Amino acid sequence: MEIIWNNHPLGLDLLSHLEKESIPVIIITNSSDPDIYRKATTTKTAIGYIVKPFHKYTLASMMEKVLAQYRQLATNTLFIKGSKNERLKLRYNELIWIEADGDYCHLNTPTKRYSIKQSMVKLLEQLDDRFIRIHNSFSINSYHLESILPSSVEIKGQVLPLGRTYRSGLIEKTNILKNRH
Amino acid sequence: MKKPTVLIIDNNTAHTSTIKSLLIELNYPPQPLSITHLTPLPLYSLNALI
Repeated sequence: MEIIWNNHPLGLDLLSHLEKESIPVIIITNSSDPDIYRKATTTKTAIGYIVKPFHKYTLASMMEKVLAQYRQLATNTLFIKGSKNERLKLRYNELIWIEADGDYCHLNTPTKRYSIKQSMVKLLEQLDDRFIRIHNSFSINSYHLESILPSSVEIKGQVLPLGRTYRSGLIEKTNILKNRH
Repeated sequence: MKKPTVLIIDNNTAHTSTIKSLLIELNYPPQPLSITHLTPLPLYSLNALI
């Protein structure tokens, strides 16, 4: 992204917007102004600052940094649309349990509940194997699981129903996860 | 994992094209999406893209 548009550092505003959305940015600019450099690179979102002209390997090395950050984020984070249409970053470890409700899923964290228009099947495809289905309407983050009862589970003080057909699968998967740690 | 998308935002078409060509040459998937704006990019346009 160029930061100088029409001889003004208008890209700085855009940069602060991208920062809110947690989108990594490489700045490729004509400006070597120290003030612009300082303002741009103090944002969390700017991964690199390249002054034109540049060698292609300079760009390649920055792309590696961006992709490394992206992979890190993508493997532990779910991005959802908030009530004001903003993108919210939800870390997997914050997500305790999920409730399916028609075309919607309700995502429950210790303090908040978010609703997204997505089926449970599609949502579980995006998440990793710590998330286990325990009922037609419920899935849990097994890292927070406290106990498995005959027809329910306890997770972070919440009791959720455990479907008969999901019970053996839950016990098997939680054993595998325990052995892996 | 969802594939990342590259947005190139510059007010100069030649610069945008050069960066896009370099990314293709360097084999960064997927095909970069090239965007050029002569005026500041309105935030609602950006929101539609991200």
